[in-house]
Amino acid sequence: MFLSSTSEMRKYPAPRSFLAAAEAAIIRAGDVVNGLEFFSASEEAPADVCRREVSRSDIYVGLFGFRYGPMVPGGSSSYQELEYRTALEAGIPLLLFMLGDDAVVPVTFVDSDLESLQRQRAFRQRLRQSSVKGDFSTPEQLESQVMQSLVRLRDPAPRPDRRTVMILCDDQTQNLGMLLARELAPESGVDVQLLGLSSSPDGGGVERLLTRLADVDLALILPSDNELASEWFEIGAVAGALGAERTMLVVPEGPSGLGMQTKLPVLRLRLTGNQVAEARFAAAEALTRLLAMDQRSQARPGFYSCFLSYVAEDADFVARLYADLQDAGIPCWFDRADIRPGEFWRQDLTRAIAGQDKVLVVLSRNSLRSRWVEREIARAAQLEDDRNRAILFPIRLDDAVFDEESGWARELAQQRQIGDFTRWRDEASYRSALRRLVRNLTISVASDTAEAEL
Amino acid sequence: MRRHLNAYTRHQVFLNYPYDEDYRPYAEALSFGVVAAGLLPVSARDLTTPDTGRLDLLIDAITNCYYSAHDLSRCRGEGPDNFARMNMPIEMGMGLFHALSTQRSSHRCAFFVPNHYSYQGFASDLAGLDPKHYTEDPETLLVAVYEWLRDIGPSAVVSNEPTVAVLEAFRDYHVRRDMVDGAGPSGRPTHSEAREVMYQICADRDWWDWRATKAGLAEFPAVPIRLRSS
Repeated sequence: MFLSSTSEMRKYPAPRSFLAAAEAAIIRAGDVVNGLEFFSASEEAPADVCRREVSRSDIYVGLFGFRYGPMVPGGSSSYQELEYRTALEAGIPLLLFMLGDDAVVPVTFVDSDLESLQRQRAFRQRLRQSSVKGDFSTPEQLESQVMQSLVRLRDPAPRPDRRTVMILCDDQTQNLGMLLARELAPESGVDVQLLGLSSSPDGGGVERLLTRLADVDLALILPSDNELASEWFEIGAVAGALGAERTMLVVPEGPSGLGMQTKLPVLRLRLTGNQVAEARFAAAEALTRLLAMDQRSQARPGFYSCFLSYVAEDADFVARLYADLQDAGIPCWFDRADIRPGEFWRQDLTRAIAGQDKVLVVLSRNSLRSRWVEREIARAAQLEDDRNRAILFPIRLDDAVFDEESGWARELAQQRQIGDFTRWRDEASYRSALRRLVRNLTISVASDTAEAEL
Repeated sequence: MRRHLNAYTRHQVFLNYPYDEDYRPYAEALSFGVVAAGLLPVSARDLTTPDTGRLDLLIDAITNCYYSAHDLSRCRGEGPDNFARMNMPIEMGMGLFHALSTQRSSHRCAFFVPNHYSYQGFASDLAGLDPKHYTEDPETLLVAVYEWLRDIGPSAVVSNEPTVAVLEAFRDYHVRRDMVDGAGPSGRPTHSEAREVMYQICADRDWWDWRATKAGLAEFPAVPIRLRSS
């Protein structure tokens, strides 16, 4: 957990400072605190140490007061802003807490020179537009907010029953937008936000639009112009942020160039005549779409998982492979990590193989003598037949498999391409073999998808 | 284009750049950086399936690329707070917003701007991300994109070569590209032919080996290329 703040947060208020309160919350949540003041003396530039330590952290917690803090030598920002940007760029979850604008603090708690003051204000304004979790004015308040945010981050609350629909309309479609908002009334379990279409990206910048879209389940875009020439960017922005499934165009009936350009869901309405009936129709379509989204929300394209079959003698290699595959976003079943104490592990292994998409079997002089590895390979081969797709991916740590004159290992060597990890202790060779393995797994998953569609 | 973009999500980089002739050397640098990293570049130019709307293809491409690189050098705004709304093509809008809205969870993006270009005029803040700068020399863009991918990509996915080796390979690419009797204007290689040369250069060095197996060859068929006779 990287805790970022400026030095006065350590001193004020007495006897228990803001920083001490945040640290207490982090420790109570079971995490380890890291931050600028924990760094030991090093020959590295402090800015480099900051970047490295932030990048290594799992979560970034930022406390922002009224001082910009010391500048990075030769840089254009303070250490604290550098830490924030590094975390943002590294994709680390951000928990940002801001000392409230109306908090009463000593004069020394506020920047006194004009340049720092301006930088501090601009930084606070940018933070406000992004994802500040809360304002605080006392250490107790801060401790509670940090604790709650950490708990929520670890164990996100189940989705509420209510859904949020954003309606984007222009001057000419505002009336229809309001009717539509009324039809999607609170009793249907939908909260509605009504926004001007052409004003959405400006007047607050990118962060503001992103913040507004963050909790939106479905966007209904109501342009008055069928050709949409002036509103392509907004439509692209919304579709890009939410995805095509969660974006719906509501356009006037009649000739349109729109259908030629997109298969985004388009709903055509008659804008002359009874607009209430048309709005009711559009609301029903939106609710149907929300329901359909709920039903397929868990789909994860391109996702696959692996079972690792090996013997204890090769555990060092397997532990490394497991860590690297996990790091690459490929979930693996690895008995050291995944068998719970007290579980009947062989039974669990059989279940585990069936539960994964691919089985990686590590072949070596040791594993070729293992009855368990043999059984796991047989189970994987049976699954290949059942599922009619490639499941078994052998890799080797030595040449022993080629020395076999009969039996399953001989068959494997004759029939399968075997990944070569014989030089796995050499860093470059290991990386190269690992990348090739991951690519082969990926290609196999793509082929599976194609077969399934056929 | 590959049939199943979503199966390759973790290996794909969406490249969002201008398509004018002046930008061609920089587009090549961007694509080469991605190929040298062992990854798969995807741009609007790769999306040519005739029976699907362009917008749908773009949405597919952007949402199925774990990485995206956006060049802002042709964006012009209308005022200090305007995010270049009127002058940006739709893929820029979609690409930017998809990238920015998912940056913290399931997507990694970077923005590239030429040194002399003042993006601050229209983009007051790219959700806190600092654009990476390059000079008039396309090699500086290549260095920026390759090092970015190498820094953020896991070792099981991204190659890990010295940047100078990648620069040398890029120079080799220019030599081999100029030997191609291309189907483009004045015998220049087309987008697909140029991409094929990149694949070959990087495959020779074992950086891009998607065709190492029979299944890989089927998924990534080689584009036939004819070399000039002299």
